Amino acid sequence: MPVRMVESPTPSTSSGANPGQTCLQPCSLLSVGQTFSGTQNVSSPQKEEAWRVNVRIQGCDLNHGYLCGTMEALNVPMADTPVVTFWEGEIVDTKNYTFFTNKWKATSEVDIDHWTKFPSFSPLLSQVEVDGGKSLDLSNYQYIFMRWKEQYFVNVGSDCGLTIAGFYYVCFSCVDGSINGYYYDPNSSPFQKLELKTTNEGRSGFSFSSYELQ
Amino acid sequence: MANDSEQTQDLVGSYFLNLWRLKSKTASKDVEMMNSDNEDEDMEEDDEPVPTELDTVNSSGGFSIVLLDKLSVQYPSVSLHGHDVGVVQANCPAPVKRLFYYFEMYVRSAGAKGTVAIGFTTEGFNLRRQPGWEANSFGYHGDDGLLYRGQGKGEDFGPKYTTGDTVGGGINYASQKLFFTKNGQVVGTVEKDVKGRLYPTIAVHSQNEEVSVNFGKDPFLFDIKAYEAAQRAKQDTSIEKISIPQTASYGIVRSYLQHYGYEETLNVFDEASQTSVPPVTGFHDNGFNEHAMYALTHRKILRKLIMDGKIDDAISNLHEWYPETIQDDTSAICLMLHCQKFIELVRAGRLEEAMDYGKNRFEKFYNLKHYEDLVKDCAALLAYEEPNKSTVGYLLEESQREKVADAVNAIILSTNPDLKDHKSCLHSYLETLLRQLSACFLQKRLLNGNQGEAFHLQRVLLAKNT
Repeated sequence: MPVRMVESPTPSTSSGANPGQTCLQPCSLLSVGQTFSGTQNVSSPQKEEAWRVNVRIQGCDLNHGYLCGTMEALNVPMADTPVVTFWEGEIVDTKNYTFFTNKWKATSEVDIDHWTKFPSFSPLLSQVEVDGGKSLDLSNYQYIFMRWKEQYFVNVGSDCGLTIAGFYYVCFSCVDGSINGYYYDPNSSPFQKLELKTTNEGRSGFSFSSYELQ
Repeated sequence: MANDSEQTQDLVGSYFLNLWRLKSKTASKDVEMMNSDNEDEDMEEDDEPVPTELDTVNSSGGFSIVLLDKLSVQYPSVSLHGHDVGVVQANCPAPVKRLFYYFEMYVRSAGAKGTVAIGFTTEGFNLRRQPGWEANSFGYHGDDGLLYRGQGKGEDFGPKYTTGDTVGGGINYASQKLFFTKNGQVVGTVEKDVKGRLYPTIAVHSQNEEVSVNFGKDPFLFDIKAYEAAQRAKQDTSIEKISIPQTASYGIVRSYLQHYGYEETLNVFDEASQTSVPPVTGFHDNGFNEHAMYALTHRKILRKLIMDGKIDDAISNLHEWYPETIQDDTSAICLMLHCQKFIELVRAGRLEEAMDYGKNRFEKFYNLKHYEDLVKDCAALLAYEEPNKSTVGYLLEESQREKVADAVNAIILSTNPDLKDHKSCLHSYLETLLRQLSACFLQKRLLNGNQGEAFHLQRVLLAKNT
């Protein structure tokens, strides 16, 4: 399983100021091999469009707030085959990452605009506006907030007519495993909504995935 | 991920730039060959090697003598053992990328027993056995008129033949059958159940037998043109049997006129179809309305301006009506428009102006590394005293203006908010149909063991005229 290489500590990491903070409880539905499927709404002022999307978790390291997986978009008009990308996620556990992104052209205003679109975020809003949620303890919260950033295309070239320059604000419900997200990219239609639900794929037990990173 | 909107716009532009580049490459070849508008229509057929003479490398070793012209064979000895046949193949197998192949054999002398034969064999055939006596071969034998195809026992087929007769053997790739002729008449056909390349083959087997072969250098006795016409006619009748709505062709022509912005022609066309007896109706809303009348008048005006070389007017109109199409100064469509302006200046002999214009504009386009070569072609116009005779002379032809007009037309179509499929800006339905037709033909050929002909529009159109 790939593990995120830790670079220089980001300003949003709180350096042990709150010893009482624990990392999130592992949630059985956010585990390696779990798949989700649903849609991404890519409507633009010109036309309505929605793609079917499948997501599979490939790696999960709660201690470091790291997640990774693949995302597959079907019925994309520009492409002949489903388009698969590999993404890496930051889990907003206020220990490794806070609600402020501080990168990818997302200002704190942009962050607040997106997080507030999740109803489950409203109780947290006031605290986040103050300090990005650094002092929040989310270990017992029934929702997990993340950012997913696609890193590269897996099965098509980057000239396929799609862009992965932006990233997703994601809210995962621990109770039923449903996922909601919003894609942010200053050069694309705003607030493209991602809605996924868990799928079972008829399996039981653990499943592992393996692939080469080139 | 999301749609890459920048890419969408330039999908249209880059398509036309690629068309231009294709022309640029073939244009330089044309000038070298000094051919007038040589389509690569027949090149595919010419590319395949055809038999021209007999193969003298592989031989039965002593049972056949190929004469100096490499087109005749003699049997040298007396022995008549079944494994002492003098068999000779052509120097290469019959070509397959055509409707059919045919060759003839003339019996100069039937010798002692008249055991001559014409047929087809595969590579590595045992050249001491008559064609047809071994597997994967066919032979029409002169002494008994039987057809042998892989066994020692022949089947009733046609008449015997002897001295003075001309027999022919052919492969019809469309029907996958072999056919044989005697003195200009078809005597029979047989299924071609052998895969792989077939060599035209002739054989002699008794004292003083001598035959000569004709691979097309001389006219055939058999009327090959009539045969070809008959085969195509057969194909045509089966096509004619399929019924399509009478108004289908109207719809296609109409959508072509709409697509390319021929507003006036379209109006005349509509009038005519209504006043014809009986009036032709019902083809207007057949799902052909993808672009329908979107921006028809604007597109007509722009096409006229560009075809008249008035690029400045065209650009200012675009600026007024569809500014988003030329917003990005380094887009493919801007490249085409600015290059065309440059070309028009050269055409008008205003060379200094052209140079200034080029200096100002072309710099930007060096970012488009892919299309650097096209910009260079334009700049090269200044290098020649008589540019229209050079390898970049194609730029001065009307066809270049047409490319720009088509590109502008397509880019305007792409601004249509009702557009569902971006690629539909690029072609009219007529062209899409033709592309599909060509692709289907090629696929059909592939499934036919890669034998048979491809679809050639020119040939079909010319044939209809004769």
